[in-house]
Amino acid sequence: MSTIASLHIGEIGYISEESLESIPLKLLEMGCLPGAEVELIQLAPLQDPLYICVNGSHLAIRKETAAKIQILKANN
Amino acid sequence: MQEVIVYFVVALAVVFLMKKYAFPSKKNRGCNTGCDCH
Amino acid sequence: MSRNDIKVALIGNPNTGKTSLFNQLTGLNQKVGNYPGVTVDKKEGTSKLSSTQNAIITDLPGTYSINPTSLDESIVLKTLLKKDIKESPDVILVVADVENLKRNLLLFSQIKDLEIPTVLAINMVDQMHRKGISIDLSLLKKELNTEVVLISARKNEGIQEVKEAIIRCHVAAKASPLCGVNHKIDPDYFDKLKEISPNYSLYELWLMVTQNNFPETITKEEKEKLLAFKQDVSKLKKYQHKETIYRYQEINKILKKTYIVDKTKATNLRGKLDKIFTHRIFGYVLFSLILLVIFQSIFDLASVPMNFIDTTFAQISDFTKSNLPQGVFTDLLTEGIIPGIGGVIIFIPQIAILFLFIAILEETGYMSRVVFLMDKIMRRFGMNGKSVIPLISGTACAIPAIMATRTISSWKERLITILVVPFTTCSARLPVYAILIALIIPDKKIFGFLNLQGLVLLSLYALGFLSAIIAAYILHKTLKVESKSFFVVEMPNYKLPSIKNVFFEVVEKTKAFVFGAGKIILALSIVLWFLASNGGSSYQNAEKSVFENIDNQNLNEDEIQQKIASVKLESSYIGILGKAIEPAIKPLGYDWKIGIALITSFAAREVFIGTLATIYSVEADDEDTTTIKQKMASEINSDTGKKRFNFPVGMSLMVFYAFAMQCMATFAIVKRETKTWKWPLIQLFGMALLAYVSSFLTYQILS
Repeated sequence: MSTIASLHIGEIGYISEESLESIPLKLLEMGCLPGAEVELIQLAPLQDPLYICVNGSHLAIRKETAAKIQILKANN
Repeated sequence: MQEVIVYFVVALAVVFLMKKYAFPSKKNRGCNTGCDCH
Repeated sequence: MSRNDIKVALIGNPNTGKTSLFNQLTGLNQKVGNYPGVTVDKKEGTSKLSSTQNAIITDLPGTYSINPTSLDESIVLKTLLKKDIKESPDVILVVADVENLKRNLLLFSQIKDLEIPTVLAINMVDQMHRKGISIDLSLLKKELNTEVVLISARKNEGIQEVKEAIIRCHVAAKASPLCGVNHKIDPDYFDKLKEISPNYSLYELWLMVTQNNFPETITKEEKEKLLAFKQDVSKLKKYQHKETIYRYQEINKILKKTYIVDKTKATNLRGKLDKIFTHRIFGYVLFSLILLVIFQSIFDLASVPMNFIDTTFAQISDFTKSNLPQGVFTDLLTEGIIPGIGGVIIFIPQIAILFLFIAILEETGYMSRVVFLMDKIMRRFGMNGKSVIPLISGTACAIPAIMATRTISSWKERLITILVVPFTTCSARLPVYAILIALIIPDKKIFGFLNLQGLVLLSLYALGFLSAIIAAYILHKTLKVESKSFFVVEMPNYKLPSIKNVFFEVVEKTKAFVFGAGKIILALSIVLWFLASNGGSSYQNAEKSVFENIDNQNLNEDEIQQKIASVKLESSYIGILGKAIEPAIKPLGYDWKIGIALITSFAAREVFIGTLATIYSVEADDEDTTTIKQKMASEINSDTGKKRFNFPVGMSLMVFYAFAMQCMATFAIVKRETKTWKWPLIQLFGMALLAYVSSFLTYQILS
């Protein structure tokens, strides 16, 4: 079970359908939808926060939030 | 005459400060403390 | 405001150039006011739409969705839900950014569902080519069923078309929902909801239920029925999620037909710059360098205008004194009001320069990267990455800094930031530090090149910052305040700062200081002047008693006047106060004269200097610090027979000023932003206690 928090820099994943309930509404509204493409662009020191590009939006989110969102990695 | 003006100005200043500090402001409900509207 | 002015609400995601558009539409005709009951600033301006039609444009805070997650964003909801019928807009102007159109349209779709006439302005179209974007405008208009205008606010293109679109939209006065989304989620549920009232659109009713926000016009019955829908909370959450997904599905359908991106054409400036600015090591190095540049510039650039202001006000004071008839009112003017105003104006250069830098950093998009870099560190201390901006701003003035905390959505994080910002060394403390350092720190270099005085000043700044951090940590561990922490920050595209926007921003922030703090400082200056120029019988007899005692000293006219002034001060009401607190401050190394200065600097810390001038019998208009310094240096402590302002006392005073919360203006702002007496009082007494104990220890240990 991978989450956004387990992505490596430059890696791409797709938000899984099962995740829907655990995605905070605000993130959903910003485009973090099931099926959307997520790429990890940069990590702050201590792996927190994460700078991601999801569905075309460039955002920074905290690790605890990222860990709640399940993804399927691109190479699966 | 000058004295009158001075007392008036000083009184104004005091009233202004009192209004700022001594009177409770209108209690406002609404999205204030703990505004975690999610 | 005439009755047929169109009321326009300007809404959009942050970073879409909404402010640029607002500035283009309103020019200098803008003002900042207050929303009743909330501490968010209301930005309004008038715009000439045509020769016969004006509009009143309200720039609402940027938001990604009508569902708010911070104080700022809740304003958008309140305005649109017609909380106040007079305020409700006739036309809504939604600003979107051409690159993030998909996400921007979410907010747009919500707005459309409110069934208020809406115009969509797609901004930054000058970037379209560079990003390989093309839009089928006429098809988009049809699909969205809305007036759509392509603009570049920065280049002033398309503005006229926006104005015309607003007029057309207002005249047509039609509005139909875009998504009709809610019906798909649970037809039964939403049909019942719609039945509650024919006066509102379905989406409005849905918002009332989910956000617990009701317009003025709702009836009690209607409200009760709506509240019944809130029973099943998990249902609400599920439906909101589904709603968002359906909205995006609709948006995707529309964009597929009308919006094409040729990725090969797009340049990736953002990616390249981000590699540097968010680099794990270099990112921080760069940030520190930038901070260094900012602070250095403030010192260098501000001193010229500050000296100018200083001398000008002294001249005004002299001029007034010599040209108005002698009397009490003239004294009030020249000794109370004019110096009071001057004391506020003199800080404008420092404050304006700091906010200039901050505005430029925000405009370029760099600030978001700073927030990203600093968030984890800030969280250790109970604050948020966004707290960096208030903390930096606090080195100019705490007042606009505290106002800048409004974008922090977690109440606890925001509160802690507000409470610790006054610890940072603000501009007002500088004159106090400067004179004390000059007095007690030798002017020499250590290690061959480091200026010792400069070093001490730097350490005082570090002390301020450190105490802010430590206080935050303590509060973090001890405050039992309910709040959820949520952090989503957009990393916008880098862009060149627009001079217009930066200018308006600086003016706004400076005004906040001048009017927020200024009025209080002026009022306090007047009151303190009064207390210092009036007293009991010994005050009235000052002149007499001086003349009686001067026979054995050959003093000239000037010196006699100075002596009279000094005796008068001692016997004035303030002097009495100073003497009264002397026992309490003696352990800190202070006497009643310093006590007076401590009291008067409650108006504004820099008043300390002026008061010292009076106390040590320096000519009122001779505030040249060298003279004051000489006088202070020669002042003798009657108990010990040695210098009054020796090293321990000087250090103790500086420590006191570092910690004491004396700025009554800050106190007022904290009260306003936290909406209670509790926090500013805790802050005042907490900091006073800390100041007292620290300066006590400093004095005792050093002497």
